[in-house]
Formats: sequence, structure tokens, C-alpha cells
Amino acid sequence: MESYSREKEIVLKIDKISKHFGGLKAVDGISFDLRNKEILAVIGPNGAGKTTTFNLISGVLPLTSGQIYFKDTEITNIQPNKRCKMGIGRTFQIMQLFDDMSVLDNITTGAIFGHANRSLKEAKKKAEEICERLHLTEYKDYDSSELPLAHRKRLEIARAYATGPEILLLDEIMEGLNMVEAKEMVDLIKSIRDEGISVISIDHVMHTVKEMADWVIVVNYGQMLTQGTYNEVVNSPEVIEAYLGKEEED
Amino acid sequence: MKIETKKQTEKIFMIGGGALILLFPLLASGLQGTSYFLTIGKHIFLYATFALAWDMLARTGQVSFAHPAFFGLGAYFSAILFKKYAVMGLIPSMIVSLILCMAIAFALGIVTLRLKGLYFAIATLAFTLVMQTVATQLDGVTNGTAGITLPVILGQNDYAIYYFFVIFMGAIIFLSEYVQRSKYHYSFTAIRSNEEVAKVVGIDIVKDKVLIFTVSSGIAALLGMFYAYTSNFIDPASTFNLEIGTMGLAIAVLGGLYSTIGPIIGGFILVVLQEVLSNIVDTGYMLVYGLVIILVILFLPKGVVGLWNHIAEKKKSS
Ligand SMILES: Nc1ncnc2c1ncn2[C@@H]1O[C@H](COP(=O)(O)OP(=O)(O)OP(=O)(O)O)[C@@H](O)[C@H]1O
Ligand SMILES: [Mg+2]
Repeated sequence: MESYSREKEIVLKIDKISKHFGGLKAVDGISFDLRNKEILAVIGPNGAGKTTTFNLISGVLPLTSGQIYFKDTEITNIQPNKRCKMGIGRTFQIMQLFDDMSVLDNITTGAIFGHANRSLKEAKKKAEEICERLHLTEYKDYDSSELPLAHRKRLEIARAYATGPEILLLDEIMEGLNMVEAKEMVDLIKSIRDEGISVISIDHVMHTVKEMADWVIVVNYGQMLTQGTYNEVVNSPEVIEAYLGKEEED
Repeated sequence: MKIETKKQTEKIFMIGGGALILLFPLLASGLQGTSYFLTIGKHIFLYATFALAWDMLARTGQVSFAHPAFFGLGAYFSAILFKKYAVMGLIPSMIVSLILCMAIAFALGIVTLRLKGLYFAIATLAFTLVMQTVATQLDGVTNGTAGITLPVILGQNDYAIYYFFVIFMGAIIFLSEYVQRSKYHYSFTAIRSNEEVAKVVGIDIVKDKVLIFTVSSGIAALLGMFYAYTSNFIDPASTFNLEIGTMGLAIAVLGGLYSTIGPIIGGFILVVLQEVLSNIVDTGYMLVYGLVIILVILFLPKGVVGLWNHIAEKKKSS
């Protein structure tokens, strides 16, 4: 991992983006980029502005300032549904499944309307495949609200993955998973990366970051503290001070 | 399991109910009071179709009280063009009326797009009240409360009118089922469940919400026209009638929301119930009727169809 090369095509470029809520600078001039087929981990203490950054990238919230580029296109002011169609998929930290739908229908919905632009028939077929791959087949006719936590997390990913993204944004999908579940999740995300999808993963769980992240950025108070490979980052003095005090608890 | 039971329920009701509806006039012909029963039939189909149109919109989470306005506008635009000023024939006046109503619905749909839940309901309610006032006050054009007398189509034949409404209901059932089996089913349910997330999975919620608002309101407008030309007379109170709106809502809730079969069954039950109650308890039958609706909302949140599914499910598993 130490020899990781970032000499790859930039798929997402974040240029000095900010989001202020009244006087609160939730995101305060962050810049970074995501490279093709890379797993980029975003770490940082609670309230650092990680989820807000995802909301800006996916278009759920308008920016206060700054620009976002997807490949060569500026997407700063583009509607969220269009961003999804262009190839940006995301999950939600506070899970937001479609409650009035079965597990399978949640995935089918992603498969119909996302980047892949499938017919209903193709979408249904794709959804069945994804169900199988994410071990949800047994539950496919359940209401999504009836699922246990680890399965709900997988369903969040399944729906986002079904949109056929080129970039997948994952918000704290490791949270609350046991060791076995976390290991499975790491393998899944690596396999998604290996298919050619670039991933940004907000993650509090350091050992999963270590296992899967190609590149790590650390944010605090809405600003980027540092970036580098996992080993570079965990050994940087700023990070030790700001963040890694928490690792012992994990 | 669950899905299968639901499908079976729909099949049973569709085939059984369909046969009954089609054969009823033949079976009843020659009996005393056939005409009375045929008129009740017409009311059932009118209300059931109205409720189904309303439900199709509700599938996106939009609880509209603007449907009575479009019912009234549909009736009046056509009546004014065809009867009052006699500038065109019946069918052209209905087509023009439909286009006008859908254009207004399109505009209203865009204006109310950002409103959710209660705020949307209140805005659409206000629209109906304003339209009712306009129809009453603009008496130079509408004859105000004096209303407009109209010819009755289909040779005033009760059988023909009955089947006419059956056919129209059939067409809307077909449309509703098409929606249920198409991509729209997924986008509508997603929008109802969570608009923000619906956007993030790629759904154009503006387009879909405005589209179904326009179509659903257009159906209400057509029903208003059909009502007008089978009732001999319209006035603002009977057409821009909020009771029709609340009845449509109550029917969909009673029968079971977000389905094709729910509003149809609900329409049958509520219209018959209203008829029976008004015959038994002379005054205050609306009170009993209201009570029944409240009880259903409290104890049968998934409506009659939901209850049926529940029973069928239990029988299977025991
Ligand atoms: N919609 C909003 N309105 C007002 N303040 C907000 C909003 N969203 C986030 N915030 C605030 O912005 C700051 C950053 O929040 P954010 O959710 O981005 O943090 P985070 O890094 O994801 O934290 P966590 O690790 O707890 O998930 C917090 O102080 C939060 O309270
Ligand atoms: Mg967060």
C-alpha cells in the first residue's frame, strides 16, 4: 500500500468547496480529488463535515462556494437526479430506504433510474443479481423496514450500486457491523472497486480503512487536515492530535 | 407469499366484480325500480373512477383537494362552449375543455410542486374554493347559482349511461394497471416514500409529479363533463363540490390506498352505504357515514383490500 501510485485519471475534482449553515462553517474550503478505480477513505471526528461534503457532491445541498467537476464536466449546479444519471451514486449515513417498498423493489428502483438507464425488465433482472451478490435474496420480498441492521446497510449499498455508478459514495457503512460483517463489507467494496468503480468511503472504523483504502483524507472543522496513504496519515502529527486518540476506543 | 396473495385477491375481485357489473343490468331488467339501480350503478362508477384518479396521484404522496375544481371546470368549460354560447359541438367542446383543464392542472402542478403534505392539501383546497367562488360570481358567463340546463346524452337511456360509465371506468382501470406495472410505479412509490432520496437514485421528481397531477386532474375534468351531460343540470354547488373530493379520498382510504382495486371496491361500498343509510336514517345519515369512515381509518389502515389480504394470508398459513 505504501507504494500506491495516484498517477491515474481524475474522476472527481473538488475545488475549494464550502457549506455554511448560518454562522457554522460545516465545510470550509475543502479541495481534493478522486482517482479512477480508487478507494478513497474520508476520516475525521464527529461533526467534521464529512456527510455535508457528500451532500454537496451528490447535489442534495447547494454549495455556499466552490466548484465540483465530474470527469471534465462541472456539476456544481446540476440537479441531484441528473448527477445520478451521470454516474454518481451514494448511500446515506442515516439509512433512507424506501419504506413502502420491498427489498427487491428498492434495488429495482435504483436499477431503473440510475446511470445505467435500463428497461424495467432489465432492471428487475439486474436487481435479482445484485440481491444475490449482496446476500439479500432470502429477504427480497420483505419490507425494507423489517430488515436487521447489517442487511439494511447492504440494501443501502445495493440500491446505490444498482444505479450503475462510476463513483460510489459510502457514508459510514461499517458502523455497527461485527468483525465478520465488516470483513465481508471490505471484500465487497474492494470487488466493486475492481470492477472499475471509484469509491469514496466515510469511515470511523480504522481497521477497515487500513484494509481497504488506497488513499485517505482527514478532515476536521470543515477543513482538510492532511492526506496520504493510511500509514502516512496515521503517522502524521496533526492527525494523531486531532483524531487518533479515538482509535483506542475502537 | 404476500405478493402472491395480493395478486390473487385482485384477480378474484376483478373477474367476479367485472362479471357482476356487466351482467347486472341484464339480470335486473324487467324488475321494478331497475332505473333506480342503474342510477346507483352510475354513481358507483363515477365515484370509483374519481377515487381511482385521485389515488393515482396520491401514489406520489400528493393529497389533492383540487379534484372537485377540475370536475367543475371540466363541466363548465364544456357547458359554456357547447350550450351557453353554442360556439361548437358537444364533442369538440369536451375536447377543448379537457385541454384547458389539463393546461390549468399543469400550471397548478408546477406552482404547488414544492409544497408537501398538509401544505399541498391546503393549497389545492384553496384552489377549489376560489374556483367555486369564481363560478358563482362570474354569472354573466356561468349563470351563477341559477346554473346551466343541459341535454342528456345517450338518448337519456339508463342502460346506455350505465355502460358508458362502466367503459370509462374500465379505461381508467386499464391506465392505473399500466402505471402499476411500469417504471412509474417505482418512481411514484419512491417519491411518496422520500423525495430527496428519489432524486438521488436518478428520478426526475418534477416531471413525474407534474405529469401525474395533470393526468389525474384531467380524468376528474372528464368525469365532471360526463356528470354534466347525464344529469341535465349543473350549478357551482353540485360541481365544484368539496363533498365529491372528500368522498373520493374516503373511498380510496376505505378500499385501500395505492392500488387499482381499492378505490373500485371502496366506491361500491361507500355509495351503497350512503344510499342505504340515507334511506334508513332520515336525518344525520352523514354523521353515521362520517363515523364509519373514521372507524375504518382507525382500525383498517390498509382498507378493505388490506383486511381481505390479511385474512387470506392467515388462512393460507394455518
Ligand atoms: N442541514 C443542516 N443544517 C444545519 N447544520 C447542519 C446541517 N447538516 C449538518 N449540519 C452541521 O454541520 C456540521 C457537520 O455535520 P456533518 O454531518 O457533515 O458531520 P460528519 O462529519 O458527517 O459527522 P458524523 O461523524 O457525526 O457523521 C455539524 O456541526 C452539523 O451539526
Ligand atoms: Mg456523517
